[in-house]
Amino acid sequence: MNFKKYIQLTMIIVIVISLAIIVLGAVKWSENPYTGLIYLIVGVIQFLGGIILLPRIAKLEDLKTVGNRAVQANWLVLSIGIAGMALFLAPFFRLEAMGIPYIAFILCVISVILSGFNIFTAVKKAKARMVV
Amino acid sequence: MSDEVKKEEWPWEDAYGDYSMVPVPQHEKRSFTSIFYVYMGVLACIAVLWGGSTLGLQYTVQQAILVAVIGSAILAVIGGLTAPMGGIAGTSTYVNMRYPFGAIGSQVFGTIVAGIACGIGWFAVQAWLFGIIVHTLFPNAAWANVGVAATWGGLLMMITAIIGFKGLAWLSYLAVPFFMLIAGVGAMIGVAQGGGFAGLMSIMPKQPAPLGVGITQVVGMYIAGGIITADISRYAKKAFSGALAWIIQIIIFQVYMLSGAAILMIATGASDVAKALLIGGAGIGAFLMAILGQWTTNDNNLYNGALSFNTWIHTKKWHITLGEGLIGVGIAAWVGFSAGASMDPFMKFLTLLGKILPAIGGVLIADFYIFRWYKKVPFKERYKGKPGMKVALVNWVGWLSVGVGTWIGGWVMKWGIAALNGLILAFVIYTVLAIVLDAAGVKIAVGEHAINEKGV
Repeated sequence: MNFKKYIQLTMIIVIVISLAIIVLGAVKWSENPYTGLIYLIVGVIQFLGGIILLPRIAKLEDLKTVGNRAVQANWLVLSIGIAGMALFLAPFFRLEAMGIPYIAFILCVISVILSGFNIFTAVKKAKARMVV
Repeated sequence: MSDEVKKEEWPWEDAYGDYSMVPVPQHEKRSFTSIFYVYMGVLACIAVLWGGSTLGLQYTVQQAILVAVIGSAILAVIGGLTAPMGGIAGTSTYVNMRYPFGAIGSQVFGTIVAGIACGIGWFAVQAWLFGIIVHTLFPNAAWANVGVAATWGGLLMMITAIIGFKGLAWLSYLAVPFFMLIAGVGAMIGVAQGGGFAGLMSIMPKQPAPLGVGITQVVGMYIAGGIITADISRYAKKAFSGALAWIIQIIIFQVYMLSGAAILMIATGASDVAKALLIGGAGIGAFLMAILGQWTTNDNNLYNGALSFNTWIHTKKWHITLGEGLIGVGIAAWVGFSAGASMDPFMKFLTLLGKILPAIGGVLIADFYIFRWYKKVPFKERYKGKPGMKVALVNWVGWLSVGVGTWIGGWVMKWGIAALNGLILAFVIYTVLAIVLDAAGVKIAVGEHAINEKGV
């Protein structure tokens, strides 16, 4: 798979993950609005990171430019993903049934791994800058 | 492109690394986002949250937000004026200081305010504070002993500063969105513990103070950062990207962070933000905030210090970063291991050194915007050096303006914001003296120094 297709595919996965986190936040809003809010914030920021990147690289041919833009978006997904991992299981955001926080936590782990690997691949394959 | 053409476009040699003494070449310049993230990295620190919690002690929520907005607006203006100097010239604050202070002036003032104060002093203080925060969070762990944590924390902070601008930016990309979210969590915990927004709004401050006191605190807390913005904006692709990045981060995000910490303080009554977050239930987020918050700020302290030392210690910049970092870690560890030791006298000394920084900023702004305009230097050509160009050894009007501005603004005037007084006084004194003396044919430059291709 070429680099651009790979980035597009992984960012679609990130978007799906972020939508799942948003849904979890909306579902649990009534139980603990702060938990709902933090899920929404993490989900929306990751969603924006992914959704903005797709049109930005859609018509690009130059691999390095695609890589640079991918790096920028993936740093955001990575950082917010780490925040989600650190917060979703924290006592303040605890829910009665802990299944949902664990699911949200695992979704964040996946987005962190994906975005970290995307940055690595962009630097390696597309010779992108780690800092754009 | 031939080597000859390249040489014509960028006739410098980066002998010391990270373009510490020469303009950043166009191909190494970074996007607005990068510059914004690095500025945000400096802002995203525990000290700003402590500043916010101090506001929470003195004001109601509405007053705290108002104070944060006014103080931040003043800082936005100052940084908005200094950042274009880096954006246009592509050089650091200390290299730019050659023009209003002369070559020796840039070495002396740069070393005092950035080298000794930031690079060694505040770096050591922040590493020590990091040790204290980690120890507060994990009082029984051996690795969280104040001295031990200050040592590994300080060494960690050195890594990105040694890498240089790329290291600072890399860490900021990783840490800033995270830190902003955690600051928001602090506000959430505050609102929850304060009994919702209505309950929070009705809480009266424990130690009420006039609004002016809070504005002074907000401005004083970060005016140093506002004056040395060129150290980062020199990497900006566009001349005004740095200024815009600075203004946005100060007006929006500093207000956000100060307000979040104030809300947490008002609701919980705890002035220790990290501890309040931990008790409030932020879990490992509180610990990560302590690490990343101190790291993103302290690597900048070291970075700015090394840039200033490089004006007279002519070796690779990373050697200087390593040296000053080890000294700072040594001081932090020594104080940390000495039970009951305090850094208060040391911090007072550093604050004293920092008192001349606003006046230096005032002179830089006056020279760049007024005196160069008076001398009919085109805006986009100001502070742009060339190999072989001659600058003064000492510009005595710059020295005098800093001396008088600092003394009157810092010690004689008993009203207003001390830092702002010093800046405005130095600005006025330099503008008037430089123009009047120049018009009268009196030389303000003493001696001559030719800049070589290494920027020295």
